[in-house]
Amino acid sequence: MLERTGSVARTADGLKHLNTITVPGFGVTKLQLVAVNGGATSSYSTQLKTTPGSAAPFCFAPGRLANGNAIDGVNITYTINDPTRSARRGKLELFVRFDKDPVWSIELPAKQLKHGEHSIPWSGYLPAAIAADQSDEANAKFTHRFSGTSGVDKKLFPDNFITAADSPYRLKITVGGDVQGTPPTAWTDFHILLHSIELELGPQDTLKEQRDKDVWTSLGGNLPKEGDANPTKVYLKSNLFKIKGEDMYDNTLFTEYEKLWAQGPNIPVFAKVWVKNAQGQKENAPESAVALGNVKFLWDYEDIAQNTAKFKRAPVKTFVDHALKYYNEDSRPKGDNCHHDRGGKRRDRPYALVGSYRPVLPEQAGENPTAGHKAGHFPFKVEKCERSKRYWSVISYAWTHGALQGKTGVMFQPSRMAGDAYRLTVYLAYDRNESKEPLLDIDGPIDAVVKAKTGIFEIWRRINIANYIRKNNAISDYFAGTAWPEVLSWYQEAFIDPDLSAKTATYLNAVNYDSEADKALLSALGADLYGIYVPAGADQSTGGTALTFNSFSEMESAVKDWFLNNDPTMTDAEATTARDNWVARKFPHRLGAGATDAEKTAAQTARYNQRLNDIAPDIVQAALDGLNLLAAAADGVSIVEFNGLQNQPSRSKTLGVAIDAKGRTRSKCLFMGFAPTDEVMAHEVGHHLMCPHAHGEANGDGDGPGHSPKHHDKDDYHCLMSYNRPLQTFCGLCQLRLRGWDLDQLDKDGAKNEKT
Amino acid sequence: MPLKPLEEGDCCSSLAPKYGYLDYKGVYDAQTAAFKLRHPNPNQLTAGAQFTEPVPKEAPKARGTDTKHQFEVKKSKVSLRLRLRGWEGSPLVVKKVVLKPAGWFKDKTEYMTLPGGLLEQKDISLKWTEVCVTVELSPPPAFTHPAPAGPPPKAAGAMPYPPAVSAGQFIDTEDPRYIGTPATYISWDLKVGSLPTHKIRAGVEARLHNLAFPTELGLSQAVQAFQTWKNLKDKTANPVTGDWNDVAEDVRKVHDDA
Repeated sequence: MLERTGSVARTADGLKHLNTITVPGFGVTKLQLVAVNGGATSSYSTQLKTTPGSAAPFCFAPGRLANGNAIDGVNITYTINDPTRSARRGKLELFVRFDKDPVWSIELPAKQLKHGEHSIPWSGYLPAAIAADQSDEANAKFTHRFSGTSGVDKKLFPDNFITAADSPYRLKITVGGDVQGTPPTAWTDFHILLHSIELELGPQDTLKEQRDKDVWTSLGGNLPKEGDANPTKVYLKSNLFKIKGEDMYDNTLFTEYEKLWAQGPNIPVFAKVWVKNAQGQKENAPESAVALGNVKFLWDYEDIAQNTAKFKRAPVKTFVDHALKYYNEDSRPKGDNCHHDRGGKRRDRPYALVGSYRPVLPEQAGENPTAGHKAGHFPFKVEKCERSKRYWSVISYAWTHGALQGKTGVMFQPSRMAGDAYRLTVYLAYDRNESKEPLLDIDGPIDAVVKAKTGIFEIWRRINIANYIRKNNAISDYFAGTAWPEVLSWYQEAFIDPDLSAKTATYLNAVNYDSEADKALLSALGADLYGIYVPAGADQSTGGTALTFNSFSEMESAVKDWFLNNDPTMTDAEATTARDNWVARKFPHRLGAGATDAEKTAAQTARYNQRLNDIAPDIVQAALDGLNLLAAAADGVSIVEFNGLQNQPSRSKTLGVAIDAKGRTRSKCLFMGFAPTDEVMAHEVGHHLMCPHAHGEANGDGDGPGHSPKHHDKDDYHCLMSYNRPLQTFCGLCQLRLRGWDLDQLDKDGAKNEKT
Repeated sequence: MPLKPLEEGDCCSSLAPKYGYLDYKGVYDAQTAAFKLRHPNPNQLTAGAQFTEPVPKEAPKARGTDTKHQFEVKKSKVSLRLRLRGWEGSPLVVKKVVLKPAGWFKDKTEYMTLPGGLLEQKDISLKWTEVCVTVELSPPPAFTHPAPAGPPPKAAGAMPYPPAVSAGQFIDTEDPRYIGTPATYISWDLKVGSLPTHKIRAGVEARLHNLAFPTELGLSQAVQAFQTWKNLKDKTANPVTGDWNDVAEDVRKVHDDA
């Protein structure tokens, strides 16, 4: 019961006056946000009615410029209808969804409760006090200003400004008195919105390891763009070569690649985030980044299906297709990248997001923006999503100030497995449930309006052709010919891209080579045979072949001379007989009695030449070891090319050898080429890459010497590593090994590699 | 003629019978021009003002003694006219009004207000110096809180941006202690005949009080509130002075005029 008093007059007959008595009361009839620029208005409500504002949802960009002015100011306008001045108290409060308590509140003193229209310029700062600024009593118009240091919870509003994290907001005014106002409250709902996100490659100084910096450099400063027609290759430098022959026959390739690249490369992916202003445009003022406080950005990735139609040979496609079909539906995200079981990162839901779990988007502690960014550190805080939900995705947070103001990002860590392909998407995780969990954090397809996508990252191994050393300038450039593109295409099918860009092209030092070759010949042959096989005074640095030997007839002459020189008593005839006997013993013609002398000589010549061919590779290797070419070589494959192994025409020719050269390391190797074909170059470098010989036909034709069944697709008879010409491409199992997959988890029977 | 100070509750209608007048006119006519200027309404005098006592009017009627005679005296009738208004100036919508003279228990009367919020008790006793008016208002609409939040929308397909805000997502409430209780019952203790002339400060103050302007904050504050209210009502921008002299006539019109 409201009790009032009053004085009233009687009204005598004939008089008309009366007494008006009024019930005191008040109401707050409006609370609206009005943009200073453009005049957009928010809709507002009271208990009695809702008044629409501008057509578009009202938003503005909070923050202040360096001069203290609001970036995109708004006016909080409210109308108090209180002619009788019955309002006793009032407050402005800010609410977020699903929370009954205000996140910010400020009491309105008496001057802010006067009957009339009130206006408070607002930059989005959440202050502690309010003061009167201008008062126009006659028109009942009042302007106030916020003042004082914010007392708001820093966990909610890190910069004391309203943010997009909890948008939408409800700003509410409540006025109280001895009686309830009619209406007692008014409110307006509004937004702090983001305009757009742009992705960029983060700076190189976020990386610690040189290998990652090399990846960064190979990207050319850019991320793949969403609309790019082709994937962008992410090159993992992986000059991994056999040190000994056994390395080809076990799983060394997998373990060494694992040691080298471990969890894969680190690629800083940054997102520049733009706040939307009241005009609906991108707000350019950097200070508007205060709106990003606590805003969650959900980073997601897709596993891009591999196109196996590109394989040149059907058996390869069949084998790889089987291997790619491995628990595809169970893994998250679904896809066909190399599975966790085989050394990759694709997998089903783990028991925990630690231990053996290998995230593509690892958590990051981030840096304090106040302290600035330090080289070798990742600046943004990144948290994993719920294990029970979108465990493969992460949430990142932006810097609201500092050198990286307005940016957020993740360290993208794809698997090291060549051929794996990814596309990253960052979403503004703007909506949430009552527990404040992002609605995007679910195990299922998601989409959101504010997002940005990269193009496709495709992982490739990169090996270097470090040195290309020709014997002399008479030898044509292999890489300028038609063979190299073919070699390249075979390796690219296995997602290995040999890099020629750092190749040094030189010639052997003539003097040194002659000297080392001579030493090697003498060492291999001994003094007597050296004098017989090698032309007297021969300069091994001349000519195109690696070694120069006597012809058969020259050799015969040298043998006769040897007898004459070693036995001064021997006559010429005796020496001729001794020579013939020695040659016949050493190089028997093995022909029947009916053979002519010419046929016999031809057979002996062939046997001699073949002998030279057989002994020459080791001698050439010894000569090159003497030169110690790898000592000063860069990582990668060094190639020494001759125009043939030796100068005598042999029945079979050695075109190249993947030698275990002196000075070899896990990252350096040397290939001796003797006018190699495309097949030979690819095959021999394949050995250096730890691929052993393969089988040929089912009947054994074309088997490579010492072929290893478990390293090759049992159903492919034309692996490049076999001797079953025409050699074509690597078999499927070779290809998967070369990508980095775990041999121990693969079967030579392709069908057995498929699992659902 | 002798002067006499007026007492609280005196008006020409209440004084007339004391001097043998049938209505206020004789009494009022006896007053000086200055008095009338200051008190243009004979029912709105000022306690303490010097009142000129009129010559008692006794009018003997000659009649025979052995006969019964019936004398009819036409005395003045007065009424109590109240206009009940809401704070926004509109007529008050009431469920029930009870008017009870102090100490006159039997005279408790229930009314329905007339159009315009008018409440009129005709021919009231001049002994009524205090009445209590109790009004029962129609309760304001209950403050409705939004419906409880439903399940959050599922994240299939592109979610709208900005997110669609359903009414149930904001669950803010009001503290009844803060907003105050609804004015369902209002009681006025009214001193009848005590409204001074608007020509004096007390008359302006009393009217402003009746009109619910905040006299408890001081007359100046109340006058300012009235001036602001009137500016907005009339769409004018007159100075807000806080001086009661500036508003006396306007206050009278708002309060007294039909």
